[in-house]
Amino acid sequence: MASKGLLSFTRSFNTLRAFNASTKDPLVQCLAPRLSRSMATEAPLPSNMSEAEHGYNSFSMPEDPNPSSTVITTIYSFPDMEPLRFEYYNDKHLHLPLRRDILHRAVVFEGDMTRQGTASTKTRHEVHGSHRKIRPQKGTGMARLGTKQSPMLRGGGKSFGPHPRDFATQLPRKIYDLAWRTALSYRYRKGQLIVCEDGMDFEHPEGEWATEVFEHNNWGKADGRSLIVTADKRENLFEALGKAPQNGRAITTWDVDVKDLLETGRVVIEKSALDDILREHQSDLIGKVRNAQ
Amino acid sequence: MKVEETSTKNEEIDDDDTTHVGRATTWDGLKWVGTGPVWQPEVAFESFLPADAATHPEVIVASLHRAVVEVFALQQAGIPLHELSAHFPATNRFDWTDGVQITPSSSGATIKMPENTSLQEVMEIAASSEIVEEAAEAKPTESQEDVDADQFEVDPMKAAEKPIIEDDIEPIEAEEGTFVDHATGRTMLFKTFADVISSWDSSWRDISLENPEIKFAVVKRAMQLTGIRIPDAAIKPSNSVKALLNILVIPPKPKKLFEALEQKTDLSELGNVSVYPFRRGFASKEQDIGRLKVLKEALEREGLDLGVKEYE
Repeated sequence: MASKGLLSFTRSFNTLRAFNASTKDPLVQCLAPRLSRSMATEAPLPSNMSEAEHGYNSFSMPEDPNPSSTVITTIYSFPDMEPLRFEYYNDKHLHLPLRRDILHRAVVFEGDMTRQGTASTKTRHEVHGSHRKIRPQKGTGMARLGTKQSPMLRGGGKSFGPHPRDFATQLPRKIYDLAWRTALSYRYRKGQLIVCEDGMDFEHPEGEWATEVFEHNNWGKADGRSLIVTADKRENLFEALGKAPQNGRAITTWDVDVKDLLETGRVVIEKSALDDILREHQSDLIGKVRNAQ
Repeated sequence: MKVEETSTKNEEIDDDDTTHVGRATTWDGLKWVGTGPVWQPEVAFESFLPADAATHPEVIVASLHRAVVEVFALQQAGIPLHELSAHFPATNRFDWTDGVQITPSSSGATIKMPENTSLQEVMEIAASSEIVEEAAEAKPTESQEDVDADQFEVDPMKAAEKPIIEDDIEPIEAEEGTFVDHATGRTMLFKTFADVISSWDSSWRDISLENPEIKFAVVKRAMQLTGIRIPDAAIKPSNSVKALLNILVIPPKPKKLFEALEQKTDLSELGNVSVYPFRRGFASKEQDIGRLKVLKEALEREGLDLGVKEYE
């Protein structure tokens, strides 16, 4: 039970200590292991093995003795694209193998939950009108008819027509999180994930400025457009790209979807936004927080 | 100055008098109808990478060599690598690394300067001089002299009398086996990029880039000199100069089918196969036999248009 590979490392040290030789003792192994974990939910952070200016500890992914389990990203300044430093991420975050089926499921799941579902028709019971029998059953020589709201008649109700409903489907949380990281990994492998320093913004809120910057950096219409992801709304950047949508679009972390990450030619993302996304979508790597007992 | 008023017979409108409303002489401040004036920035956008990426392999090799030499020169001089841009500013195109030999060693690499030059002097020149050479990518098949003479529209003989060198820097003395660049008046050691590259000790490609600081500095400088952005996924596995060179030199896959088919020679060798970048219709065949011009002229005489344009 303790040898689940990466999962075992991701639990806290206290948890690991519980899985020691004493549990094999037949007298106590039926008992639940004692944990001294706090009640508060610890949000683990993505691995950051560089000289962290933020000063937080990289908790979730401890140092792996095998150095090939990390990937390098270059942090650029925005928008002039000057490399500032290297940052390291775990390969479970940014170097996952491509799983098209999982990406497909996630995109369909997002599409389903985005559906407005407001198509509506009236059944024969809802169409306005009297429910009088419109002609006698026998004697007219014509087909027998009841109410004029019958679906057989023009102006009648619609049988089995659409009604407002919720089209959302369910997808296991871990698969959805894996899809998020698979999309980011796909972009990383293709060289289409550009991580920039925090505080991405333009000097001018003009579409012409956006076009000039994007053309210089080969991010624009000729290169498949780009998605800019920031932690919060940046006035000049969002306004400029809103005026010049042929270059790309700008979006915040809370609005971005897996589908958005796969649509444009590349994704230009702030480091803090990338960390937020990875922190939010790693449930398949980090086990559920157990309640203290 | 937005409203046009008719002047009364007794009054005269003075153009310099701004207190009265009168006829506008320029369009500043007037109301625009339609899209309005096109906004232009006061300062044009400048990115870290140059506008045009280098495409010729020999130029890329020379740029990478320069990046490696500069980084290890700083390391040898004991200067921290993050001061690279201060010592080798982006605007300075003075390439002092042509004759420099660099070989792998225990400390990373050692630099051997050409005779009669010291590393210290050259680094001072590279940091302080404001020579901005216009010579960019030169065709290696032509000599450097010819290319520079073409790029500068100045008479080479006159330019040789006024070298673009600052007074406080001593020009390198012309030695045997060197060439005088007439355009800038400087002495060049080599004529073409191919000569430069073949003069280096080939072990420079085996220099290790495993040290993250060295790798970052080399990658950053190489990107700045070549204009090619190295993708992150390619940085980690490239632990030697040779690996980085492969990433820079090998061009990206063609995006158009026509470009991909152009590179394949087996199709072009077939006598009955022709490959075109566009769909051929009526006008293409007419143009092949030379009849399209005639058709167009005949229609223009009638005031009609064929509605197709000739392919190039």
